[in-house]
Amino acid sequence: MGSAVPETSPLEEAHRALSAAQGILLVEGASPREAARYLERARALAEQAGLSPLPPPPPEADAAALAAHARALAVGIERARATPQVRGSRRRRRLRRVGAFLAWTSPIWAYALLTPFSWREGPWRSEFFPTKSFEGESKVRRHSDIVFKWKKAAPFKSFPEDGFSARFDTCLVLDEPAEPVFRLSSDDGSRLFVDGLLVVDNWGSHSVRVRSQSIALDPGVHHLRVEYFEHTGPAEIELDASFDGDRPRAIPARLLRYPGNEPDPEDPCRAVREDP
Amino acid sequence: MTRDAHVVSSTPAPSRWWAENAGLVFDLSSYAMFAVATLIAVATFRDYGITWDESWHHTYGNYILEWFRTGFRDRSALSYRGDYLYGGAFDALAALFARLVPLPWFEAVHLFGALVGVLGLVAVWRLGRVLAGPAAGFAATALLAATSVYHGHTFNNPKDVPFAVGYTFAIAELVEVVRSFPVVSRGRWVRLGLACGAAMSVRIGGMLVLCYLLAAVVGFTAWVFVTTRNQDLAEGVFVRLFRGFLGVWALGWAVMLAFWPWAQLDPVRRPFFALGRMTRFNLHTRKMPFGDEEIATYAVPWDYLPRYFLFKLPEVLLLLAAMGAVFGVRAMVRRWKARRGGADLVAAGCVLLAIAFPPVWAVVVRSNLYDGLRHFLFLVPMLAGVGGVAVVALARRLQAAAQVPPVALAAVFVAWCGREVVVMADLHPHEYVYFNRIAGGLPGVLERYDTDYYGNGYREAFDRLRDELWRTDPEGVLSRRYRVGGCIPRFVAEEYLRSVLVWRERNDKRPLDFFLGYQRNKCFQRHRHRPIFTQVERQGAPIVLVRDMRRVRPKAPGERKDAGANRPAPRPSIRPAPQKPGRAGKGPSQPAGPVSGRPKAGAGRAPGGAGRAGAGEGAVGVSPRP
Repeated sequence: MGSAVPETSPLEEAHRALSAAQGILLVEGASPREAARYLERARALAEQAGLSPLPPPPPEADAAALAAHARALAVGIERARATPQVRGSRRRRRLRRVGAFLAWTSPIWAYALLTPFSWREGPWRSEFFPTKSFEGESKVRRHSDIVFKWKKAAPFKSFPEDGFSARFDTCLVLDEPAEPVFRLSSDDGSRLFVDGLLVVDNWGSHSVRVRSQSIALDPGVHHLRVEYFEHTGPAEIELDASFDGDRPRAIPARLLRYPGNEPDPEDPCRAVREDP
Repeated sequence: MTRDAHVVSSTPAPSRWWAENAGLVFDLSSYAMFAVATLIAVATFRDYGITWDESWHHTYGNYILEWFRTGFRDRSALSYRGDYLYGGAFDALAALFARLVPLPWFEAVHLFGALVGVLGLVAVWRLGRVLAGPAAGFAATALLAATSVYHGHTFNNPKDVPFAVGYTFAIAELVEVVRSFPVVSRGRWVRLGLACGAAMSVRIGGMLVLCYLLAAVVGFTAWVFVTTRNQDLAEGVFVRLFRGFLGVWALGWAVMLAFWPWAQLDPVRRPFFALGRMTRFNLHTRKMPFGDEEIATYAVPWDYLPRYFLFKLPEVLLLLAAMGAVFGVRAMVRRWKARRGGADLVAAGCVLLAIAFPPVWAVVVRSNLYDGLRHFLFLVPMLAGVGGVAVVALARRLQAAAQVPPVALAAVFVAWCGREVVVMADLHPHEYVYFNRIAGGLPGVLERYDTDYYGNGYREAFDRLRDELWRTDPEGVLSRRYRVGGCIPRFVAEEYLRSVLVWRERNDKRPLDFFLGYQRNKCFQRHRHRPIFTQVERQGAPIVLVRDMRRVRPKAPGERKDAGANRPAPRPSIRPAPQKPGRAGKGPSQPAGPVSGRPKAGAGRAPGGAGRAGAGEGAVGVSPRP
């Protein structure tokens, strides 16, 4: 830092001074004295930049003579600016370009590096039905978490605001035994099955109600299914789980796998089990 | 800030390699800083809360997208609150971004804002670089990156930070253009027009840059006349530059209108109407603390802004910016006396004008002010730019006068910036509540100045409340919901609640379980007779208090039973007791008030106390296994 740093090269300064001189000469009735001063400065800087000695502007020259001199000077300076040996080595320029490229594209690779896959593709397979008995033409989506607050609206425009249902499936992969506590809150009914076994029963028509239950699970792949229906009024559902005594929160995405778009009805997690 | 600063000194260079590669090293270091800033932004954007303005601006952004999507038939954007008076470039692009990335709405917008904040670093790097080269660019970037108030705002401030970024780019381009007077390439004019348009498309106040450009044109013409006494030459220069100015104005205007539906319908008059409204901005009237007194937003004392700038910026930035300004003025005087370098003189004048004019104007016309320096955040990158120039100039002077090697100054500078970064990490994610040591840090300004005026602390407050509930009442968490209230809009609160907590409706007569208060409008002083259940604090000073509404705090000696928020004393202060020096705890907070009546964990009774039912009674079975 400080005096050792050539922040802007003399060549660039020379180019700037030359531009100023040319600009003044372009104006009708220009002051030759002012233009000559800029030309002299440009010449001195060009010499400082390592260009071969250039002739000074002719003394007491008129505007036309100065313009001719400026054109001659411009040729030398422009050529030098275009030559890597004077501006800086090719390696330095390449480094600068690579650095700039990495900096400008950093949002993309930072996002790719730091974004968990769960943000992009949720592990829950959500199937919505326009009736409250899991019938009719369904819509399938992927979600990262079961937390929906539709209030008095419908999940889709083509769905009714009341009287719809949904089924959510995922596969829980455990490396070691665990005893999670599942917490299911919904308006209206909901229930949680683990490997086909009813664990949390929050079924029935009601306003927001919370039910919780713990279950001991062995290592391996476990199928989680949440069923939900909306009868009337506001609609919402949320599933949380507490692992290792932490407070209940969304099941960590690292523990979940997507069961596939068309899971096997007999064993929805078969694909995950076969290809963990 | 002077062209002299670029010229290689005649003092011997430490080494040929350094002399040849220093510029490249500083540029690559700046690039690396951008990359690190991006990484930090992507890694932390989910930590930040939703601020007051965000919901409105994001709705406005969606309306703008609908304006285009429906072929100008959806006219919601034309009359939406006061937002129609703002250009909507950031809002519309943020809404578009949120629709494209698979993230929850507010998280997507926070990520977008953070990336725009990184662009602000690029802008200030460019400003420092055009003023005094790559070293100044690097120093300016480091200064801004280590400024808490800027970093904290980038994630969830939808207007002040985007405007600051546009304004800084515009000033950097303005300096480039003015320094090449009287011959300016078309590319430079175009870049300046685009940057001006970007600034104006967020806040119409960006029109100031056009005014500075006009002032520069007039100033340079005057310089030409004074130095040559040639009226024809001066006229010729003026005509030539004024033509460029008109081009910049037209291009900037077009960019500004692109995302501003309301102004598109009357592109000539309406932007000026908006400018008039904004200069007499009076949509917010309230009281706020200011030192030892209480002031109104419409009657702020003259030292409101100066004091906030003095207290909210790092001391190193204040010092360097002041030095940079002094160096700049001295260089201008030198050039004026020597009658040379007119373009540089005018460019330096533009930078000083861009820094000094807005706050001076606000003081002179007694503008409506609140939220500290938030509305003048656009000056912070400018100060960092000038500070970067000061670092380089100082290094040169120290080496010339006292043979102090530049590397020594660089080490001090980096250490100082590093210290600020540690403070930022300590405050995270509430960096914008930063106050410097002149003000006594956060504890020194508690109840005396606005700290968390934007409601960023609520996200963490809700998290802490859930943690504390789980610690003290796990069975309640597994079987019911708790009714909560606070001083934020319901639609913001609902983003944080999840199913453990439920926001109490306005017409709900059932009592609250918890009340969350932050400092704006003295919200945290409400319900003072209730004990503090948990709190968000930094540096030992509370930011958000969570009061347990199920219990009554035992009275302090001499305290009246009904001591309300606005009654005179006596009252217990929430100001923290003096602490030992050192880093204040940021971990799980301890309740600051008496909590003797708190239910024990697993006590097996209804946690609402006194047998009160929760919002959603339920059952819990913790042991049976299927």
